[in-house]
Amino acid sequence: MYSIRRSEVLSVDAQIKKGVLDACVLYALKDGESYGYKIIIDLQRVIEISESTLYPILKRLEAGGAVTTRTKEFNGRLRRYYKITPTGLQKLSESKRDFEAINTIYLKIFGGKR
Amino acid sequence: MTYIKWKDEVESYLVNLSQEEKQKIFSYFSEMYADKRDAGKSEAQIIEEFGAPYDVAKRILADSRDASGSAAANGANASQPSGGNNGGGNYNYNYYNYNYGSPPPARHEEPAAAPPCSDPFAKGIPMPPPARQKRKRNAAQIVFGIIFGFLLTVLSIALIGSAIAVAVDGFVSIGFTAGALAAGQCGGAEGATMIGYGLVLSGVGITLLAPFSALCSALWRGLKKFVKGA
Repeated sequence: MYSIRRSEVLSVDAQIKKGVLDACVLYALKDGESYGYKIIIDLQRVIEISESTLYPILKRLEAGGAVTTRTKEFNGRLRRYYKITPTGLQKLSESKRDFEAINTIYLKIFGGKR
Repeated sequence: MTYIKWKDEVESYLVNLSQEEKQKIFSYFSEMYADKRDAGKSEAQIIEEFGAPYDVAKRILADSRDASGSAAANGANASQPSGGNNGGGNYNYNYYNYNYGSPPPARHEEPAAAPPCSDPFAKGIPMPPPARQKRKRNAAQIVFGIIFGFLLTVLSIALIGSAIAVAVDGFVSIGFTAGALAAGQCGGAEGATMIGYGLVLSGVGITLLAPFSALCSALWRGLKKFVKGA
């Protein structure tokens, strides 16, 4: 797993960026439910993502049926947990295929050199 | 800035969002805040990580607009995703339900102004007051600012100090001469000359004080402008 610099992510097209971020969040949820702060901590190894960036992503994924949510008591307060759905798993798998296709095109054009 | 102030400021930029949507947003951030506090982070550190209120509001609105669009395009039901076993898409837990100096619930009451319009994103968000817009200063500006600030300090002390010194010298001269005349230690003509000399000196000193102060003040203003990048 390698780290993507923020400047690299911000420079790509907004739609691709959204696709990457959506896939990253789904990836963070693929092994089980998680909550906002943990998702950010888990993703920090891969990509820099802020709280204000994560919120709309979770909202978008939830609206699209890719994740479901539930609240659970923790430490005297309620915490919201996110769980990937079969739709989300399918979306993650599609994203993986898309990225592989993009990577293939990229390698053909640039030969793996920047 | 405290979390409550940060939250209030973010909220002030979200005027076109519904009360329900705002509650969802701040439930999310409150939970994040509580988790970060549990992780041992200070309030100031958390606020810094959250980012400037205006930037946060802008990002949320921009992405929310896109999220709304894609949700509509997909025909998805945003409020009732399948499988949610405790509230589905509704953030129904209390935003203030954490243990870090929780404010009274009354603070969460929404002002009556700015009712949500049909398209909550149509009007965008209000611009922040100029004072809140942080200007980025580069390293060169800061280094030059420090160097010229030091030089200006020395110059200001030298200019104003010399003017004051000349004026004081004149007054001292007048004082001593008056004393010598009173004691009969010098003649009238000599005394008058010395007093005249003192008057001229003090006059020159006082006269120089005003332009020197104005010059220093102008130089400081110029430096401030340069450092701020205006």
